[in-house]
Amino acid sequence: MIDIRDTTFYYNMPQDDEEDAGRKPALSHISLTIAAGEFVAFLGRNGSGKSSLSRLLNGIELPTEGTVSVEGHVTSDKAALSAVRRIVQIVFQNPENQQVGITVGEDIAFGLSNIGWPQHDIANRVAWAINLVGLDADEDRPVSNLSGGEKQKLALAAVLALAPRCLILDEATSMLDPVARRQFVATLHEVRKQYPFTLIYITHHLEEVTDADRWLLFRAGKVVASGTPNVLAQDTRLLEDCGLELPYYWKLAGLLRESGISVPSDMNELELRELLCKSS
Amino acid sequence: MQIKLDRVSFTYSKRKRNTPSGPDVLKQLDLTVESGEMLAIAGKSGSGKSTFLQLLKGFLAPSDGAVLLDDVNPRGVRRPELFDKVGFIFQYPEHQLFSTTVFDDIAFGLQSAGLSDEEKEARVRQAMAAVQLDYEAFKDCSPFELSGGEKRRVAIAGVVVLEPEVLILDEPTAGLDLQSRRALFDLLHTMNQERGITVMWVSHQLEEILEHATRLIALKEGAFLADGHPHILLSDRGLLNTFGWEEPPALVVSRLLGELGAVDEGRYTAALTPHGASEAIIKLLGKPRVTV
Repeated sequence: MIDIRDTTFYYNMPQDDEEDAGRKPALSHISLTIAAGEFVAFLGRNGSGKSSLSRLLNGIELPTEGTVSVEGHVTSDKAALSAVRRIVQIVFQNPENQQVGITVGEDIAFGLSNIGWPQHDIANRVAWAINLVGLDADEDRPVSNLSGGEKQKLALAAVLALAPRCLILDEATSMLDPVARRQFVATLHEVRKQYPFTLIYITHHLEEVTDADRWLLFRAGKVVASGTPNVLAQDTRLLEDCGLELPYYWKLAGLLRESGISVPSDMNELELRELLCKSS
Repeated sequence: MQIKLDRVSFTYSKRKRNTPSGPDVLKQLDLTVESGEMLAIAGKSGSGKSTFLQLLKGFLAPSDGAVLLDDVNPRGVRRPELFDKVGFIFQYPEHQLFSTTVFDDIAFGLQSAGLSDEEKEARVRQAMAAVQLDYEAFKDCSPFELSGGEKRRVAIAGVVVLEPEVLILDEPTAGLDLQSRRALFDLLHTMNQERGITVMWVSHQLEEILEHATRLIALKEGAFLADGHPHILLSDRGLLNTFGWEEPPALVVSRLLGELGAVDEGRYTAALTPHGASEAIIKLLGKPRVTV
């Protein structure tokens, strides 16, 4: 569904003068495809290019070289841009930057009327979206009244109302407490069961993406590895180099396997307990 | 510097005629934080954490009760400048950087201090050393060219330059990668140990609290539900359930190994790293089976 071909991106075009001679691109010669319905995690250090690439995917930024196409629409084709933005939606880390309405209902309705959703169906759609994310608020509730977790759910409802076929979460859970984060992720997976949209999840915490189809590791504007969590988890040095730390049980499993003790690489508490109790 | 809360309550909406007063965001809080503590504050969004922090810095005044700094109530004696000893670092502080150079950004807070240029430079040098930014390499850089972790260190230097005795941080590691998170806590530990600065921070990461805090306060609906050592609180089933937290794996594994006699059941030492745990497990599995 997404096809990125030899894409290089500078935030400001380099000029042919000395000051710009040493300037590095935010993304350098990236080529990759993402299949429809895939759950992909973009991972890497601050400034490695994850967010830049996601901004290219919905046409907020355009590639300096190469092409980005979404369901066949090339983002640098002006005529295709509105289609691209309909297909790909982003939720950022600070929901307040995205909220425009005074009330919950207005906030969701705003995006809908913006994309020309049939006027007579907007009220229905707003109610549907609120219900979908399990936001415990009626549509007259002021946005300013919501907790951080509720605001993040509202941001999710507002983009899901637009029926995106690809959703990008750019550290969308980083401001949530652990409970709200777990609920948010559970909600997301619940919704994906009904509407299996492509999910791109950007985070610094691997425990949030252990069930992704694929991890993409970014370093200095390049994709340095792409593979399933189980495979990439073997390379702890590369992960560390990309600013990532395996979850506790994964790390422990890796160390035990190195010593010849056979445990699954995604061992959990129960399996550890069994292993230990069998032996004693 | 000691901070004391004496029956502190706070409500955002003042009582008006014929309307009930707003609910208390904070309810009669009593607390003493001694100089040099490493104290983490946890609780759901909306539990009153941010309000609590802002009272400590004097950004907000208690509706009832008093905040005492070394036994003095700065509001009571009309000396709000006493709150200058408390450094406050907001969430995503790098969003507030605005000067054209790192030097100017860090020195901004010194403008009203009446320092000479030499004194100013010395203070900025010190602050940059404290956050491990090389003075010569960074002073003329634009803050906007820096990485996320570096920007955050510039923002922290802008508070450290005012020589606070207490440092308050609201989710300081949110959005930072592993290396930047480690560097930030190295920095906080150094300031805590070498200068005796009290560090208080809000965190949603239980593993981070377990690793770095010597005291944890859990806030719920404006009240302190628990106050104690993180190792004890984070393995307290009742408390974990109340907050919907999952016990950090380090504590689960340590307890399990303790029950099996593979490690000593020391109360404060029992948070094993994966390395420590794997060594204990290998030893345990290597032991001959005991048959009864």
